[in-house]
Amino acid sequence: MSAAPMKASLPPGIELVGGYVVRVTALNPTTGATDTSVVVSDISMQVDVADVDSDAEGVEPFVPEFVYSGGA
Amino acid sequence: MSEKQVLGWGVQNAPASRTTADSEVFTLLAVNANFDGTAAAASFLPCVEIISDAGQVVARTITDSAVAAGGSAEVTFAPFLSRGGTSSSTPIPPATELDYAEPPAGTLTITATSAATAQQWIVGNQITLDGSTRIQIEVWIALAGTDHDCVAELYDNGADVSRIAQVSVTPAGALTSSLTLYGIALITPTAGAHTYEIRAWKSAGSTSTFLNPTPFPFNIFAPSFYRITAA
Repeated sequence: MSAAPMKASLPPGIELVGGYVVRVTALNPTTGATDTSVVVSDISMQVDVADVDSDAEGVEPFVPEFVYSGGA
Repeated sequence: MSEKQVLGWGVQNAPASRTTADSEVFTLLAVNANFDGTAAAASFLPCVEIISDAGQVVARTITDSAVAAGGSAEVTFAPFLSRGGTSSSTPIPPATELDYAEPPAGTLTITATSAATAQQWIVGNQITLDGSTRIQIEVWIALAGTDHDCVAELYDNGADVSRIAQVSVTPAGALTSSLTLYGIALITPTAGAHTYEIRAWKSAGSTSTFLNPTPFPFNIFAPSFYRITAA
């Protein structure tokens, strides 16, 4: 059985600028602590963007293997 | 401005973080991720946090229901999605097979004499359900032999649920019956991970067996099995 599909509402219009962090994590529902035993993978982030520095190494052109610009 | 997909996060234990570069200015539209809780000892809430350059949490969004310990989920975080657990907008189509398993080949000689001590016969694979999906559990026993009573007992996560099939002969010991048994249950399990089993027990003093005549093709019966489908 594959992983169950779930969803959660994300606040609209969050603008990310330099230094802002997007963190994908798993929380204990009782304590709120991070559950480090959970493995996260296949993360994709869709953004509306002028310039993407997907590997966080400074100003550069798009890195093809990290950035997908659309299509079927 | 144009939409782009940012990948390359890799596989890692939570948390996975990406820091926006100084050269970047963009609007977050959606995040999708897989959460594998195979090693998780407790239930957990998939979460996306946005943290400012001052280290303050700007937003923290979680799923409305937790993923059970040992369970996994693929989660989409996006604006205007209603909060909830497993997506109600993507129900599992009826008749979709969720699990299938066969017992070990050969004859199981049943010795247990109560539901509480029933012997493991078929062990399913773990499935994760949303709490609203109705499922159909079937068990087909190629040949059940008894001279009194033998029962196929449905278990969920190690706990007894109910009998799902039974054959009885009265008076006890008068004759030995060999029957093909089919049992079915329609239930709506709770949200979270479930591992179903078919266990076996008999009335005290009787001689009872379940048969799984594998390998297939077999010249007497097809294999015994259990199967779960969306109902």
